[in-house]
Amino acid sequence: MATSTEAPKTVTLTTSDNADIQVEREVAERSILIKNLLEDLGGDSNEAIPIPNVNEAVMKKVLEWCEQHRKDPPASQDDDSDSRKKSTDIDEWDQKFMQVDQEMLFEIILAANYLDIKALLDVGCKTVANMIKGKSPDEIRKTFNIQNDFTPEEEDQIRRENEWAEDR
Amino acid sequence: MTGLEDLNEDILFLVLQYLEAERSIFLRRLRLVSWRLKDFAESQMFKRITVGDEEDLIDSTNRFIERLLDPNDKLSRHVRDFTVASFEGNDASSCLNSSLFVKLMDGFQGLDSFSWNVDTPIPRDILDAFQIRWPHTHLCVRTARFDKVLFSFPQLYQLDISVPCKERHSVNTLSLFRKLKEILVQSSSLRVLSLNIHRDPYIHRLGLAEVDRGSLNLPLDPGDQLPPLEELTIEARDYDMNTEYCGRWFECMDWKKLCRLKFKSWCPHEFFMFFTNKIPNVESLQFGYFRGRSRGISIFAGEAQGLNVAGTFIISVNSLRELIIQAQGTNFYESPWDVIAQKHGDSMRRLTIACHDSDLLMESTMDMKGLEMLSSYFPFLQNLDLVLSLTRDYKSGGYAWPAGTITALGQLNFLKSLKISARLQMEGDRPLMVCILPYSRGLVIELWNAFFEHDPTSELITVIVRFWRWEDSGPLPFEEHSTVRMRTNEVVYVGSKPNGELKVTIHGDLGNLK
Repeated sequence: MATSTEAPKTVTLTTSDNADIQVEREVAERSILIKNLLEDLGGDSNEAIPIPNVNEAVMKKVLEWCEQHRKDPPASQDDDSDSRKKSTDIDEWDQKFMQVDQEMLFEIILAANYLDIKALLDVGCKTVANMIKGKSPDEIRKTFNIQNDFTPEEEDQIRRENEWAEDR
Repeated sequence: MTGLEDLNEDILFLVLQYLEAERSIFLRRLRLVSWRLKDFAESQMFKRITVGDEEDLIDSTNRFIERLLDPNDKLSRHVRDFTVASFEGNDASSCLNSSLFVKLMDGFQGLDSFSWNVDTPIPRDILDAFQIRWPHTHLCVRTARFDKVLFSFPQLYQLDISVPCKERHSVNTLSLFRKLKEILVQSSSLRVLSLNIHRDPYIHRLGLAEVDRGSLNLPLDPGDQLPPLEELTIEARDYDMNTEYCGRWFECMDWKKLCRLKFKSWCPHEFFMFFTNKIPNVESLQFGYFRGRSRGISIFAGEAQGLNVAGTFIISVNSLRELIIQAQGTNFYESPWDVIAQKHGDSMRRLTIACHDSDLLMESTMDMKGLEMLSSYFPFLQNLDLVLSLTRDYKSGGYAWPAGTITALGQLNFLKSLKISARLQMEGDRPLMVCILPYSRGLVIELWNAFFEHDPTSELITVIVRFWRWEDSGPLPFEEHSTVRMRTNEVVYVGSKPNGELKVTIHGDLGNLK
């Protein structure tokens, strides 16, 4: 008769740059992608989980967030549960967590999207929204280091279309 | 290096959601940043396109068509919902025709819905092109014209129709209800149905027979099966909704799928009584009632009948998110608001107390009592629409909000949108703007500040206040005798906080005062 064995408490994640990161299963399972993979592999697997789209530095940062939020209730299907929070508010710990350079900010957002961590994705998107708020097109370009790839004629045409789009 | 432009459209859309209050401005600004962000902005701006050949739409329709037919323009890739709001027909239309619609159908890349909101018949070649190119896309129709081909179309998802009859308020009259029912029971795709009734003096031209005579309702028979509707609207208050009929309809449809139920301004008592505990998944409900105003009778006497009957139904549904009542006010202290709040307090997101159609012309005030109960009854309200009567401040001669209103509304911490319809009385010959202009902006700001004084992180995004009154528009030029003709005159103030500062804009005919 088979005896039931406890699921391992830690899992190993292999990042895109081949680094192995050991992490508590409960923390890693903030990611719905990892949670589903672990369930597919069965409770007693010790296999490393490949995370090919996220490098070590970003993964460690994401896991830092997961550790902080390990006891948060799981994301609800009812989107209103989120709207009970202040929609423009980011809590203090998350604000400090997101004080990183822009490249890391966007890498965290892409990783949260890939790993299916809705709450982290929301915090990232709110941070970007706050950076955009009230800025002119030129200020948005400066903030995010975006090249203006319009010719002056194209820009004029879009400005005219914007007036039309506003009226319609 | 990863940057803003590297985020995919789904993520950019999430960012946009947090900029909801200034969404359209933000989209227009993004169009001017770079080609990549222009493409993203246009994918959102042009998801829904409406064309038509009426005067208001001709310019935008011509511009849309020019862009949609340009092979180098990506606009047609973004369109998901395409609506035809008016079309006079191939011969009469100045900017639209069948072959143009067919070309547009071919050019779209991913259409979710095609809406035909027109009373002229739809040309067959448009329907054929739609079916061939978009066999899984919803067809939505709003019309007063009975079109058997259109109504029998296998992709018909939404039908909003006014059914012609010979006489209104009759239990035995000629109408097209029987012919409509015969089509509806064959439909498998219909999910949204809106029924109204109108008197048609030319109904004899429709070739009806004695078998088409009867009550004003879909004449359901045992064995009939209507598609499982998700939304049902019955606007006509003379739709015959007796208890026996409700029983038949109950047998003919799966009511568990119904989420939205609207009766506009009437309250079908027998329907509510019969269907109590039988439509558990209704999330949005709209109805209305007229309150008795005889001397010596409580002004809430009508409410006791209207709201209490509906109230029993309301507390029988699982989780109500939206409640719209047309009633010229209410009293939140009175039953059944307490039991409605007990059942749906946590789920309610939108509450509207709108003016009842029948009350519009009465020289009466809006009675709104117990507003201070709202924040404890429905603490998570996000949208609130109210009718209120302004009070006169006899010291200053100006207007003020009714006592306690400001404090009561300011307690709603999660409110995002507040709309108030404030009715004024005539003051001799003084124009509306002269009466209200010295006070209106202050009233809007006072309302706005109440929220942020109570909670500096208030969710409030928009306050809209409509100041209005009935005015005598005078007799028409050809009339010999003076006839009192009333029209509404209004001015609308919109307050929003796009960049952290309150911005108040005025909409309305301000004449010389602009």
